[in-house]
Amino acid sequence: MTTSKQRFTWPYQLALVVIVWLALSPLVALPLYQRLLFFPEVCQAESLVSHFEPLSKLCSSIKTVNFKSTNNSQLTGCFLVLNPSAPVVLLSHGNAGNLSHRTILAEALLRAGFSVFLYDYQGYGCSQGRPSIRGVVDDALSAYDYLLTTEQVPSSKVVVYGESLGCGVAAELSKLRPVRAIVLQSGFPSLMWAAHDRLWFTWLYPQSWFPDLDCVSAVRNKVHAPLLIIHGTEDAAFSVSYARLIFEKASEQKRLVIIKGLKHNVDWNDLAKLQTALTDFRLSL
Amino acid sequence: MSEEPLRVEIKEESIQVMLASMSAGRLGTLAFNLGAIAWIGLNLNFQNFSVVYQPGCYISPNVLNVLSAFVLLYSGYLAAWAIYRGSLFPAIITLTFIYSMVATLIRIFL
Repeated sequence: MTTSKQRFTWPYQLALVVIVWLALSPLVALPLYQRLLFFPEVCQAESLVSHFEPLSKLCSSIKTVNFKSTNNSQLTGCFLVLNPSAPVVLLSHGNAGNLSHRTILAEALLRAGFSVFLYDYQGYGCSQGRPSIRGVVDDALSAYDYLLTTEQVPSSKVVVYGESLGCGVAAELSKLRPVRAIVLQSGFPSLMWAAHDRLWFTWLYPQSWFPDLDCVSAVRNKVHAPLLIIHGTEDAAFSVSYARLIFEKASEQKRLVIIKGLKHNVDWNDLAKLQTALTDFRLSL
Repeated sequence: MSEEPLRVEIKEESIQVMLASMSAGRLGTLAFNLGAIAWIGLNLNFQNFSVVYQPGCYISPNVLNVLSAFVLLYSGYLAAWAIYRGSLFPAIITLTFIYSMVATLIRIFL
């Protein structure tokens, strides 16, 4: 009798499972997932330059710039020019903070012989709007177009650099625009992949339901710009095996640098090692 | 004096018998709890003698990850049994853990 009673509850249990499955799907719950993904920090436009002032001795000019994203939101960037002939790194930062928190990274890039263009996604720093997965790629495209049209930087000098979440952004950008090189630091193979690892139930949804930022598809079985992958052994956010995996899947000119002791975010202790890796890569271009 | 033969009653209490005597709902809950613990173990990594929860670390597994994978498979067996006996929830969540692990491994090697 107990068994038949339990069997009677089957349709209800199944209905509950289906409802939960649908409610958690990326189609329905994308705003929730975006809340879990983005941690923007706002800042004042006046304070932006002051963050980078200590770097003024390393570069010829520092300027704060504004440009429009595809949905007309105003974005803010900071252009640190080493010298007019230096390759320009277009830096897409990670999911937390804003561009003013990337001064150490900017210093490593300047010391390695690159000019640096940092920008904030919508909702980050002084940029207007709200961050979204599709929006960050649009913002990167706008930053790239700004560099080419307003700053007159040729595409042959643009190096896209992704940090953490920005790796997906930089990789997507490299699919859509010609670039000189790609640098992926502390990244992941794809956003969907990272979602699968963190929220196991996301495996239960078809790929087409996910908006994606995909590093592997940007470099797998295709001609791509020279690739540098940097990852730290102490990265607690993404396993170093992610970097090895992207490296294995990449098809063209590629380089993998595993930095001992480097955590997910770069700090002062890592500056020298990072600078060496970046300098070697620049000389190889 | 007559000696009475000694009677020893052996009560069989193997794990299998114990599991069979549980209700389907309790078996499903056990499968889920075991699966959840194994899932956490599967995602633990060792860094400089400290243990960190690092999803996806089992792409290059350590000993704990491998052991957890076997425990997870066993919890899947329990979950399948619970579902067979009529309790779908929460046993089905355990099967999604296994699906996730297997799908990740397939993706790495393909």
